[in-house]
Amino acid sequence: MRLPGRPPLRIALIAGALALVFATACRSVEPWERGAFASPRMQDAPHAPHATFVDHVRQSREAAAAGPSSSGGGCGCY
Amino acid sequence: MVATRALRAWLRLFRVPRPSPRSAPPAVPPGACLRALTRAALALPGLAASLGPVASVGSVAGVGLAGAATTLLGAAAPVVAFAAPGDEIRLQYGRYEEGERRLPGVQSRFDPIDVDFLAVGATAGFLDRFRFSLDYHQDTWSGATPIASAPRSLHGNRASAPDGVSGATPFVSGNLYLDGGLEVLESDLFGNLSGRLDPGLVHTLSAASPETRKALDFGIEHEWDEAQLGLGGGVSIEPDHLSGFARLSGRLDLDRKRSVVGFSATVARSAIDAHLDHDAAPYIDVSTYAGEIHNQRSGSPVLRDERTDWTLEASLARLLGRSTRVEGALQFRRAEGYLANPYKVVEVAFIDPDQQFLAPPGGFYGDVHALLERRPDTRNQVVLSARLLQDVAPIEGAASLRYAFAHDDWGIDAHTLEAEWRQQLGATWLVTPRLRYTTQGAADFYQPFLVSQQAYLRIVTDPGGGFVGVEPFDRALLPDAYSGDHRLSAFGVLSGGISIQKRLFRGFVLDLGFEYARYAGSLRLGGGGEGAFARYDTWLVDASLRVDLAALALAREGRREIVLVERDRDGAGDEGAGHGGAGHVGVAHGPAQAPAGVMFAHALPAAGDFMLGYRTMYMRRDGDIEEGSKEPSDGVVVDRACGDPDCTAAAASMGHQMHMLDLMFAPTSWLTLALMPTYVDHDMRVRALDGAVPDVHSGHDHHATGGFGDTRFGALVPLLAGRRDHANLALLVSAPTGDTSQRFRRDHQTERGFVHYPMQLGSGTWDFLPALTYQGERGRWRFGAQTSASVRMEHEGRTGYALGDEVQVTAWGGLAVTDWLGLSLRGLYTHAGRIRGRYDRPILVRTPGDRPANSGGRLFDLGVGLALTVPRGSFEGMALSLEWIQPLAEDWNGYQLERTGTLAARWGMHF
Repeated sequence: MRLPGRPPLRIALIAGALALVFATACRSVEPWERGAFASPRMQDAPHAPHATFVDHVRQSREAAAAGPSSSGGGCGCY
Repeated sequence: MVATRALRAWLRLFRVPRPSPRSAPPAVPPGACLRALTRAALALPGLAASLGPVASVGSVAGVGLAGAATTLLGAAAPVVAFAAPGDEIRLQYGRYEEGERRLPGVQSRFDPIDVDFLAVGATAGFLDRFRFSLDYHQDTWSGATPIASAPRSLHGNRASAPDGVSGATPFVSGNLYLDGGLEVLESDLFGNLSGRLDPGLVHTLSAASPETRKALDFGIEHEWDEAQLGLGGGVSIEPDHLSGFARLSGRLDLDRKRSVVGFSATVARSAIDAHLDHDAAPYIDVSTYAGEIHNQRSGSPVLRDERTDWTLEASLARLLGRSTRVEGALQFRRAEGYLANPYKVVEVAFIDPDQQFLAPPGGFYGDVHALLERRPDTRNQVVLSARLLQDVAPIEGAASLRYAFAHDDWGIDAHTLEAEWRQQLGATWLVTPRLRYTTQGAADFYQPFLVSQQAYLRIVTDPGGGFVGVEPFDRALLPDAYSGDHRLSAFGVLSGGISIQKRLFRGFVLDLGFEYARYAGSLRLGGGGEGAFARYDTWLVDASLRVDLAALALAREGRREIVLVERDRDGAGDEGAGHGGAGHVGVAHGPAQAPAGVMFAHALPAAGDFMLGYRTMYMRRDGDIEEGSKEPSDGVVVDRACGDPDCTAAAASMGHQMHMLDLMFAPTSWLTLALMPTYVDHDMRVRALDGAVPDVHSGHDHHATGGFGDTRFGALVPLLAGRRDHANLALLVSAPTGDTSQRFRRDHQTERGFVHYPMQLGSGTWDFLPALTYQGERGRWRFGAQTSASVRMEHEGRTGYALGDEVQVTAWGGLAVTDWLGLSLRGLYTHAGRIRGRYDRPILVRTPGDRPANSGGRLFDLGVGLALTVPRGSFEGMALSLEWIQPLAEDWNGYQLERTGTLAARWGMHF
């Protein structure tokens, strides 16, 4: 099977399809089975301040990361 | 003996949270556990599931994922009354540095870009299911950055100083020679051709004086059992860019919170007010933005425009099993308005048919001019991301894999892959090494260098050969958009880093982070990246301290129960009453706290106590130059304030801000140790003086400095510790960690040297800071007095001068309106001596602030303040005070700018 589009688009399609497969998995996870998600290592952003700083720097260094100045990012002119 | 006790006390700080040995009974009282567990059971489920700190600090890209992921049921830590997981105070410092740019054949004096980042913030719940977050952050940057890319034969970084070293002034126009195929030929500064092709492009660097951006964000959320809705906003202020944003976000929990759907919508408006480099402006063609350029004739044009950004994001997070979570997000961004960078130009070689007599045989002569870059006025971008988070319980580790794909209508496609391993070590350590790879394609309009077959300026003559006028180049022969900004080129980024987290005591969490990154065209996936000239390296380190209010509340409950048991056992009476004591764990002096502008006023009351505080003071100066207490005319200032030669300008306004981290620890009940690192920033606007010799900088000179200031440390000894009267002696030292060699950038072929004395970041000398403080209370009345001094312990600092000694006497009175609110009125007298010595290197004396004689004086001020002490809730035990200090009278030494006032704010928490 040949996927449509340029190579980057194909990769994105594959990634999206995989994500869809994962998202529709049907095994039940009861609340009492979710203990692992309480550990520090499974938090969404265990090192949140560091991530914020890194994101801020990247917004002024990478074109794709240069989103709107949502957190008052300024112009990133440096 | 004392030293041993102190050491033991310090070591206790780094243990897993537990009651202090001083007050701990043989076993934790059963009542404490029972009460905490009961409250945890009664806590509302919704409070256990809310936005994490990532969302609260304002990362739009993280809102959906963070909000969705942190709410999955079961992911919550134990809940304690008043404080929910995620309620926290946070302080952070970070530094970013770039390596030197590749400038072959040039000895550059440029320092690469470096950025100091500072952030403070808090998140707290209120009214049962609401949560509020507030974050302040600022970054100060300085150093050199590329203004253009040009063939090396243009010699854009050529030496502009007699010492042969490249200076701050870039050369953005000149001549080039091209062969018949429009390939640039190598030539020297005098136009001599080597017979070879030009070796390639190189960045033209330009340095700027330091700038500071300050931003304030807030967010408010409401939580339901299975949903959440949030509103947020903020503002960012920098001299050339004002930005504000508003955000709406939400979350819906499905399938008993096994799946969480999130969304966010953000709109940001920005106003650009960019002062183009007045040194380079005469050589930059800004005609593309003619309608947006103001003050063109002043020699310092200003580009004013606006932009609007929208971001929409939807996300889904889902549990796949007991140890697996996946997340996906789709983000759409749209930007409209001025999307270019006002400090970037594109070099264009104009092939003027009338000048080709200068061309080499078979080739062309190029007349090179710099055009302000031009980008499309809209941009639409889609970002698709997915993440897998897999727990590996047997070794207490977890793997996170994230992929993101970004596509926009500027032609930039980017792929990012991030992998990190999170390893828990024991109960209190988390170590996370990570790798990240990004590859991006170039924007359709990326043009590091352009050639145009036309004249830059064409002389128009009449049929008789008479001069009619000059006609500029035809813009239609150039692309619609063009930018040489290497960030829009094709390149790859490979970065690696590590974060280390340590849970300290009583809810304190320390995070250290490091990241190294290499940006290079050769790293682009599939090749075709930009040349080696655009390669550079970056380093980033940061440290943050967070106070987890839920853990803190748990520790506080435990200590309270312990104290109650001790009282029952010992029959103690009023041990916890009054000023401190374990019975008042966390209560920072109630409304008896000193006004916010008074430093070193409190010693900790009991051994093992700890205090974390943050203090900021902002002093504003506007108005006239004063001589003593009079207001002389500009003519007098010109003649007398600077000596010989005359002053040409004077400060029109100044802002000085200090941020101070306040750390105190009491190893014994009679000694409190203090450590107070500071961060300062200054800004100044200069105006021309009437009657002065015209100055090229007058009327458009704004400069700023910022960075680490001096660090204070020492001890406080309580002299009197009664129930209603307290006195202490502070003996502190100030270490000269603040830089005193901040300089102006070189411009107009002139070395201007050091900035004005008040703009340096520290005193430059080791200073002794004694202070004697008394505080008392009678009923609801509060009063106090303090005398303090700054004694310079060296005759001169590293740059040849020392600030004058200072003595301050202050007294205040106040009223405790309630048990949580106090008001105060304070009088201050300050005597500051003149600067001793002077800069040990020549400086360009332009303003009164450049002369040591114009420093110090005698100042009378009045302070009006309020103090809040939080008696309960997430912030229980915290104290917040504000004070406005209004100048009443000034008797300056020499000529100085009058003051507008000072705002002081202090937050503190006593454990």
